[in-house]
Amino acid sequence: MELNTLPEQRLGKEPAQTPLLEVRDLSVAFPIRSGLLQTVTGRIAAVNHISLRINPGETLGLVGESGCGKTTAGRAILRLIPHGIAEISGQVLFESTDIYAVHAARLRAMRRHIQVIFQDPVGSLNPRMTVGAMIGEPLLVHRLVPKADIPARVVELLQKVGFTGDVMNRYPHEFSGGQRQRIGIARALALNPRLIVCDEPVSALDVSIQAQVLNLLSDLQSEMGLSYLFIAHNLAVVEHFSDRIAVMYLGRIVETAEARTLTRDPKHPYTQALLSAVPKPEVNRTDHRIVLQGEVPSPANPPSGCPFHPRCPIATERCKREMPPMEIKGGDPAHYAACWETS
Amino acid sequence: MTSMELPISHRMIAPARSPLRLAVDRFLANRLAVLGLVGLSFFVIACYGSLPWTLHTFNQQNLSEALHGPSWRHWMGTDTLGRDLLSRFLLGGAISLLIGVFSAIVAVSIGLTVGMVSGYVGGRVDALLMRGVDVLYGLPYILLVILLRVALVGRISHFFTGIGLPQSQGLAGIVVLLVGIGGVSWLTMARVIRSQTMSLVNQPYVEAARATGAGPSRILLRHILPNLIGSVAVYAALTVPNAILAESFLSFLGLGVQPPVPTWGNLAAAGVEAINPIHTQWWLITWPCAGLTLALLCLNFLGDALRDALDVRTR
Repeated sequence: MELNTLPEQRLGKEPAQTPLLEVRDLSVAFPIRSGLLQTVTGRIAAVNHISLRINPGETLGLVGESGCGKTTAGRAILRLIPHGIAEISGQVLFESTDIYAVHAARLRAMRRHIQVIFQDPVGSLNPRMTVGAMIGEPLLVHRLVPKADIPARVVELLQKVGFTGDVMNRYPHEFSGGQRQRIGIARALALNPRLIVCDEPVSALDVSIQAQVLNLLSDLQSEMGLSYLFIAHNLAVVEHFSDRIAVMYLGRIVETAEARTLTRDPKHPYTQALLSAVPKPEVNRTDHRIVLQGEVPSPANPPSGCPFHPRCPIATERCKREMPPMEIKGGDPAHYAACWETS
Repeated sequence: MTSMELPISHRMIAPARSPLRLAVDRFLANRLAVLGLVGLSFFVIACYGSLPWTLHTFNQQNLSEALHGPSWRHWMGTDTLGRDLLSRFLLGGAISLLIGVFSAIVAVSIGLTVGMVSGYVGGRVDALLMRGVDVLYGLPYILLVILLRVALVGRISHFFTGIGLPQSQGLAGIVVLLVGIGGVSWLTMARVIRSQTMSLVNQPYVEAARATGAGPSRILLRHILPNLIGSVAVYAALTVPNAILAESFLSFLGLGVQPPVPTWGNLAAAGVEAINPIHTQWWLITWPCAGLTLALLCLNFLGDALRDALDVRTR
């Protein structure tokens, strides 16, 4: 399939930098089993041939509505989807090594460089472990520092996320949502990772706490040279936080561009609709909101042609038949969208 | 270091309170729990504290004093062979409680292992283990215990005689009974633990541990097991009375611990045999039944209180 190859490769152009993470043609499908013999009767294509790149020090925002597959994509990039549950194809290259091609021991060593922050501040911390034990665990697993030095390192990590060291003997239930999220961040930082997959890290928090956590993340980025894959459904948050943004719809990436370009001049009708839904603090707001009709189609039975066509305000007959490829839009070599009707 | 100014206070006033500490507080605030604990402690101290006396008096026969009612000399009366019933009651309680606790330990160990492996590994291993559990569920447990007895008592008692233990026949009966009862009581435990493990595996903190590169043993022991402690404790506390009841029932039927070694079950059976239309030797049946009832009641209070105290939802 032509659209599965990376844009750079199609254009025969070498990427300027070796990317830290390169996702090539990643697909995740969950088989639907039914009946007594548990035969596979269908497949939910949660992630469909997506390709992404994250350069060192860069933040890539991945946005889309609930159920579009962005969390599944994040889990697949971390190789966290248990064996046998899903059919996964494609490549996830971390510093040019495919994490799906390595053996268990190598994978465990590679995990050091790719960490994760979860959406749910309650579920992401083990209620029976102290904060110190939780943050120290990655160090223990990878034997990066001598056992005796772990507490000192934990204190250092706690200070990095704005706590004093004396919280290390406390249990998660003693903390608020924002504090727990910062503990989760400290755990993710313990191994000095290169890349952190942030799976909706602020969507469960109050707006005031959201800003605090986002500021913390961006301070840590400049301090430690981190790269982020920032998964969110709130375009307003992603817009401020990301260098580049990829928009997902029904398991596919429909548009990707520099954050500014994407928000100022969206090319895909879905991105346009998403952007029009972002509240703006203006009294005399003149731009009209694009209200999408209908529901998100089921990923078990996706529409023919362009997956967005049943809800698209500008869809034509061609959109119903043929899948649009990712193409350069607006003459910007960093701006790609999959739409027949826009240029 | 970043120059963040985070406005939240990080020095909390209360000392760190672990989830366990909170559960203990909740447990002690429950009156029935404390009552159960006190009652059970009374039984434990009485039955085990008196062992030096009961162990050499429980089988002392004095036919001239047979079937005497409670008196200052024999507080609970005497049985058909003139043995002191108090001594037999206390030793019987010690054996019944021992069988209850050890059967529960056996049941919990098997159930926990099978449940955790089944829930964590999933797939075919899970299907195989759970179908095995289904089959065992379908068999009557009395049958299994009888089969175990037939197969094992002779060998174990031979082994005990070989290493020079006294009362080898009685001891072998006890060992077989607690293994047998434990071996059939783990099924529900395995199912409960399996389903809990399956939901814990999907918790983000388990994913986070996998993302850091932690292996299966670390995840099972450090992340899943500690979060199962609540259900394990509750289930164990409720398995003990069930095992005591099963032991008493089997001994009552003559399939459990064999006389002259007493348990509350075979004491009650002897009491029933002694009932006749002319004399009512009420003490023979009343004391073991009362002991059994009170101990089971205390254990059930404890189990219920543990469930309330450790329930995750009330946290």
